[in-house]
Amino acid sequence: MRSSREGRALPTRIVLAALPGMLDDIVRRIIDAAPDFEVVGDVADLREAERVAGSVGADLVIIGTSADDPPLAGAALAEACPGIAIVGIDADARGARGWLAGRPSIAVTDPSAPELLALLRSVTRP
Amino acid sequence: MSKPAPIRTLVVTDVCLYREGLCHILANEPAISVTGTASSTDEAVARLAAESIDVVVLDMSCANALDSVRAMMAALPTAQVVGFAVGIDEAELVACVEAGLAGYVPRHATTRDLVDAIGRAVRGEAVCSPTVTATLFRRVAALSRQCTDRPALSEREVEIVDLIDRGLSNKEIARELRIGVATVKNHVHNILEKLRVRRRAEAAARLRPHAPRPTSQQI
Repeated sequence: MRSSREGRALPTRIVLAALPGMLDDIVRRIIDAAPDFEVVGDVADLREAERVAGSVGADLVIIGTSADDPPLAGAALAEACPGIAIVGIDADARGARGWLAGRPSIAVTDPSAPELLALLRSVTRP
Repeated sequence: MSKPAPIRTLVVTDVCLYREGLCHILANEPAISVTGTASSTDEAVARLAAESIDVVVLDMSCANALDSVRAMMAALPTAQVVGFAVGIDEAELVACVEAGLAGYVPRHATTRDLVDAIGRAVRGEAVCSPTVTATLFRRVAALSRQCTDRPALSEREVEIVDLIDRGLSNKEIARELRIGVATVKNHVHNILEKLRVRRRAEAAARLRPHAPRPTSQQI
């Protein structure tokens, strides 16, 4: 977690990108309930995610990934934004995986809300 | 005016995030009371048999979702099943409607859309896109053609088929209807021809209550 000038821990800044409507609502609710995270942007596609993440100084981008080839979208974004952690969640929410410093890190199958938060923490505070 | 009772809702999905998330989000809706969640059809059917439930919210991305709809309708016919994560494929949509879905929201829908669909299902309403509506119109027309392609039986012929189904011979039918045996034979001949069957028993089977009854009134 980043710190303010006074040494206070700052919440991890998250951009949500290309998550299907209902999953977007669910993920946002989970994040809103966690004091160490905050949603600072919500965009419809990955190209915009790259631009917004840079402009708002995001620490993490959570993306909706296609069930067909989930790792590709996350890997491409991770490569484009090497300083930003990426977490991809399958559109049907049956799996999630993280990328840190452009490299795949951890994958979780059928995560619960606490498991998803643990994944977000693992990629932002290794 | 008294406030309407909250809609008792069961959330059914094998996906943990959706199960937890929808349960929490729907529980915050004043018009909805979440009675619980189920992660399998068997669990849902058991709950339907034991509890009073108005609406089942079912994840249509689960395996054998259509069978699940049918099982739930059989367990509690008064419950309305609303599907979420329904694909946009026409055949898939028609199959969902035929299985008994009272409402649905597509994969990209929001939880607000789902809440709306739940309320509508209870009121006997459903919202479909113009494309889906057109698909359902075509399906109804096709089903109607299938029915009307069959020749109609007269009231007397239907009466005779009923008597055949009760096991009566031509002679007994003649006595029952106070007509000649030759007349009964003529009727039976016409019935077999119209229904394109060769045996009296087949004709009777075709016109049993669960089978479509092609009478002149229906055309």
